[in-house]
Amino acid sequence: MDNTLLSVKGLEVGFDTEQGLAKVLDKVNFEIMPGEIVGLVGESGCGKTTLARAILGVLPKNSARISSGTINFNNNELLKLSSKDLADNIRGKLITFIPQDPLTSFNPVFTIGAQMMDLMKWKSPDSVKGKYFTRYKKSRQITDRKRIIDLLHTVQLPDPEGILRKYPHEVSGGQRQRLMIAMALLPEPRMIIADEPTTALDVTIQAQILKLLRGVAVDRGVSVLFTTHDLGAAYEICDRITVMYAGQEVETAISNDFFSKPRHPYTRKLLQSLPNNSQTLKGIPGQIPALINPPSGCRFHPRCDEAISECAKLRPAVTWPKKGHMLRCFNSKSAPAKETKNVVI
Amino acid sequence: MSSYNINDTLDGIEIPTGEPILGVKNFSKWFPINNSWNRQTGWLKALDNVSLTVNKGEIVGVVGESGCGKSTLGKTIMGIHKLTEGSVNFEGSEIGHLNPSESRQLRRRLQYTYQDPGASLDPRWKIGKSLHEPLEIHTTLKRAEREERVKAILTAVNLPEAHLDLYPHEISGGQQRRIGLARILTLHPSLIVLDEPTSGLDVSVQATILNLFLDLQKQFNLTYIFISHDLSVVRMICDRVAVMYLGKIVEINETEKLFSDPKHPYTQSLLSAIPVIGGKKVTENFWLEGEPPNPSNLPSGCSFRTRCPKKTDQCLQSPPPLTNTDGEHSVACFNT
Repeated sequence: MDNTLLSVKGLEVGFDTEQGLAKVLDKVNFEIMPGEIVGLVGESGCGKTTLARAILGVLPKNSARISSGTINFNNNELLKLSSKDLADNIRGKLITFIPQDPLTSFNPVFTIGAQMMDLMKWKSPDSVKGKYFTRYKKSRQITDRKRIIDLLHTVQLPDPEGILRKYPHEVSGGQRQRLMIAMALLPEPRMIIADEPTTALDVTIQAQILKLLRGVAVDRGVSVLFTTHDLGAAYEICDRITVMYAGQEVETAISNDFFSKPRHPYTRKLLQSLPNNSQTLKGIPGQIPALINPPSGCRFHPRCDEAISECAKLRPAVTWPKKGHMLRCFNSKSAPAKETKNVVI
Repeated sequence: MSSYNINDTLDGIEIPTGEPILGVKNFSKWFPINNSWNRQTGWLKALDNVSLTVNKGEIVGVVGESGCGKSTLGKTIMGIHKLTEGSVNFEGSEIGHLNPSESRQLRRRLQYTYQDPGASLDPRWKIGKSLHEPLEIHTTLKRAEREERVKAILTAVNLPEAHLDLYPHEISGGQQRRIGLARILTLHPSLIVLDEPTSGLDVSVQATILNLFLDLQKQFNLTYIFISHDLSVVRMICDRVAVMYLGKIVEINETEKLFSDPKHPYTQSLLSAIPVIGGKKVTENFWLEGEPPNPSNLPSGCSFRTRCPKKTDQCLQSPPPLTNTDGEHSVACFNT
């Protein structure tokens, strides 16, 4: 499709370890449209963060091996760009990042204001490309500062001027995450990658932050790639959800379909293991496979009740049981979509 | 499941099911705040006048946001922090101000699981050694007898015996929790304080761990104090729930009643903040604003009044007492 903002095709990423190559992403396909909020959910170790980092181009250089695949963003082939191009024009400008833990992402010895001005010096929409020794002109500093203050109002921080004079440890966790959202929006990006932005927060703060994130993204037409392991948070803000298991994407669906008519056995089991009202809580027996020597074919087959002999041989091809609903499972026909009960609470 | 004999030498007084096993009264824990010259400038009231009763065989949930004093409550009951004021009654005896050797005796029956099981296991000890340690300290059992007990407890928490020869970093987070629990259970405690037992686990693992808690509770006749910030988990497994805000219990009720009919404005906002899959989206109608105030500089009167939509002049003047409205239900608010 032409209007796709980001399209990842057949991406294969591995990490060198002492035991051999860990095959973390196995031919992943993934797409984001402009202005869309896409959730990437899965258990820890399923490759969510690796995918996000591959898009940003910040995988560790000495161990990560990208063996095949393409990442196309805004008609640029990111894997072919030089690291200088990527740093100057894409990362921090067109694609920005909201981290999981905002405290460690700030430098503790500089004020928040100094760090935000530093960001604006290089990444502000008016910054001049490539000239590293140009002075940060006073006139630009004034407009950038105004921009910062405006945005801090938008993210509902009390007393923006005062906050800029503070050090990162002097503000609360929720405020730090609001600052991170503001910093991600300052370069006026096309896409934000939010890597588990609410896991470190309390529920009431999480609700506020999710509301804010959805609000600013919709207002500005920014796409968001929202990785999370919390299906509840994904339900709150995502338009579309992709589920990953052990480095393979298994199902993608519009948010409503995803929760009401999950088709992949793994998705169904994941939804069943959420705490609910009925006193029967089901976990998924077994463990996530070791990625050094992952199961052949569909990586979920050793834990799957509905596995057939083909599952171990081949990875299921992409099927579209419904428009906008992508599934990679051999059993999509034999096991019709089941209505799951609404999970109360 | 296992041939584990519950009535052995370690058991103290058996409290019948349904009778109070732990009573906490006017419980306070204040931490001194010192300035740069180490001179005390004030108090941080981590717990202020908390009263709570736990009955035998019950699972009592303690919920609240981070910094509200949940863990301090658990640790002070255990005696890890010395309490400032008040009393704790456990199995019929006062345990608030014990000396170290007396409290060591007590720890057999009253146990605490730490939030991060990976960090509470010695990285240089094999799992087997970690499991033997409590028995070496608290009992006079011979090595062979200890071995037998450790193996029995390992089957109870559904782990293979091969794990005894592994190091903590070689097993997964869910398995580390099981080991943490097994370590405690070797001593047959009657009350366990579970501090955030499912934080950091994936949902599929969390489900299996919660089922394990429920199984073990039946098998070993346990009572749990379940400290958590995850309300959906608390709703699933607790019989009663206490909601804390800035060192005070603001509401306590039977789980179903609390979740279906919360009275305190804070409880209401906390419950409305949980994402409900298939329900109304929280992001569309969440009304609570602001963040909890600094616990070292609490507002006068009710500590929730800075964020409360229902506040009146009365809330400014004095903190509302926790009053019993009906049955098990108590709430600390003037405007219910």
